[in-house]
Amino acid sequence: MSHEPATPWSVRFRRERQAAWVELEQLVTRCERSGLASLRPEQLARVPVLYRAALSALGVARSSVLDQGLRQHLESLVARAYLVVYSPKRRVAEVVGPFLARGFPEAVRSIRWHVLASALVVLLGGGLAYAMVQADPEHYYLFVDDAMASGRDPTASTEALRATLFGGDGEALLTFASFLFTHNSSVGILTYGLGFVFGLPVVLLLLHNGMLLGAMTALFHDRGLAVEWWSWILPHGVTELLAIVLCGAAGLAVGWQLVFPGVHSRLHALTVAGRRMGAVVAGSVAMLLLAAFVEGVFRQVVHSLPVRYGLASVFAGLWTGYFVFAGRGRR
Amino acid sequence: MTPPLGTETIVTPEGLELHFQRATAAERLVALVVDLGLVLLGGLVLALGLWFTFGAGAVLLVLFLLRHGYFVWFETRWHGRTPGKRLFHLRVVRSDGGPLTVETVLARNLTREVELFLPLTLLLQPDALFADHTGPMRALATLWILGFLFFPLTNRHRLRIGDLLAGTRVVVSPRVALARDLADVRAGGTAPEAVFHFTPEHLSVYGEHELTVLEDVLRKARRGTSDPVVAEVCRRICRRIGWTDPAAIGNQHARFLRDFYAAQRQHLEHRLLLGKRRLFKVARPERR
Repeated sequence: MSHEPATPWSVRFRRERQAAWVELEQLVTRCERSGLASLRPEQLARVPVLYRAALSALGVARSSVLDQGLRQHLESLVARAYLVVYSPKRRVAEVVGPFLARGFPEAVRSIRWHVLASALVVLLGGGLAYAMVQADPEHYYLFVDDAMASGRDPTASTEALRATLFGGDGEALLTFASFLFTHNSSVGILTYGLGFVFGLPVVLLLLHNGMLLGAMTALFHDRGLAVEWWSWILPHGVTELLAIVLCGAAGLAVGWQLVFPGVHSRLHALTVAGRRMGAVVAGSVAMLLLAAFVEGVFRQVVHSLPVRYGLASVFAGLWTGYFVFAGRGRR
Repeated sequence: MTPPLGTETIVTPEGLELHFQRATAAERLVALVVDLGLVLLGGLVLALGLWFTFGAGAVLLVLFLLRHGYFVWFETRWHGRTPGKRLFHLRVVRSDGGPLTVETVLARNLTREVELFLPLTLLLQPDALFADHTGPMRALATLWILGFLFFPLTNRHRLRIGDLLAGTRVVVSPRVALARDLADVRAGGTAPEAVFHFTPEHLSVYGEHELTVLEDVLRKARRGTSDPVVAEVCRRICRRIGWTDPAAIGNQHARFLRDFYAAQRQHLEHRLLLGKRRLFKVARPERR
């Protein structure tokens, strides 16, 4: 007497599906190694079909298959296929265009009150430093350290100060521009990260930046160089200060969500804010790149006051229009 | 089903829970060191090349872009993997199961400025940060900044601040090959005929847990030769299920266990389909 040994139903379950699993595994392995683009169109079309099938097989296997070897393999196969199927968009052009056209201004509008608060903090720092230096020039050294001042302090002659506003040697322009960009961007990015500590360091950073500006403004006003000083600051300052204010606002928004998460859990609120604010910071870094170019090259070359003020107004109008109107309307 | 220890549970958009093994702090550190090494190497090569052609400005710019762009670029292009992570089979996934978008990758990598580059500057070149400060103020600031670096060690999920802000987890890419079905005679290995046959009474003793252990024993058993573990397991099972004639098994211990495994699995799976589950050999009282 001889008959087949007992055959659990999961043996048949596996026999019917094994070919599809092997096919899926081959496709997934190939994607992991060289990307989705390496698949032929008909293979690409198979991936989601096979994935769904494997997913539902895993659901069944978990509840009623007792073959551990099968279950563990399916768990890993489905997890790997899931990562392939839900992979992000990979073309940079697909992401950058819509982001600049819609995502960035929308994200900025969503935190307009934080932008306002952040700008007020900068103004507060500026006003405070301005008033203090006006009262006693010695206070200047409180706000501007020697490296930053590089000769622009109350002991300098008016002529020397004027010269700093129109100087510039052709050689180092690009170096200067890229130094400014990397420095400002690092500060901007730092501001975002510090939002995590309830936004407190962000306020300090913004105050510090405002004070620097305020103290130097007081010095130049004092010498009757107000018009020249602002022509030196504004062409790039409109863009640069706005970008710094936006980074600060992003940091404040993250801190705000942490303290007042609303109906969500703190973790969830933080994640939602974190993703959107990361985008704001990335947009601001692009703005800083533009500002650094204006600061490092344009400002050193063009000395005519009307042209400088003209460019500053163009930027001011451009940014206002962009952040108020861009990306509204139909999708 | 409760998730195993040390795993991250991700719910796919289809609504199925997947369990990924969580990457340990050590694995992530090593992957990071590899990545930083590559950034440093790439930076060095580029800096040398650019210095002579375009000057210091280009070097500064490229180093900045490399420092921040490296992680964003690779995690976007390679689906949450950088060369370092790939080397150690690590991977970034979103905790809510959605796709890893560019903004998510940006959010988790922009914080490196605070978490990594600032503490690194502090450790390598403290005077660059606070040249004017000494004593307790400096010590406090140092402690504060290092807090960011060690943040992942303070939580169970080993989250960086960037992971927290972006809602991401770092997991180990799973890879388990499909093992042969022990109960499938067509899959090879054993002769197609069953030698031993079991009655329902024989099969009503053990539960799913014991079946899993038996599967493990069979998969690890040495082929061909007689394995003492197999013989011992065979003896115990005979005693427990009341097998009438243990002496008749002879040296066919492996054969006996294989047949018993197939019969037991069929029995339990059949009961499962009817909605009856037996996890252990004796009905254990619920542990408090």
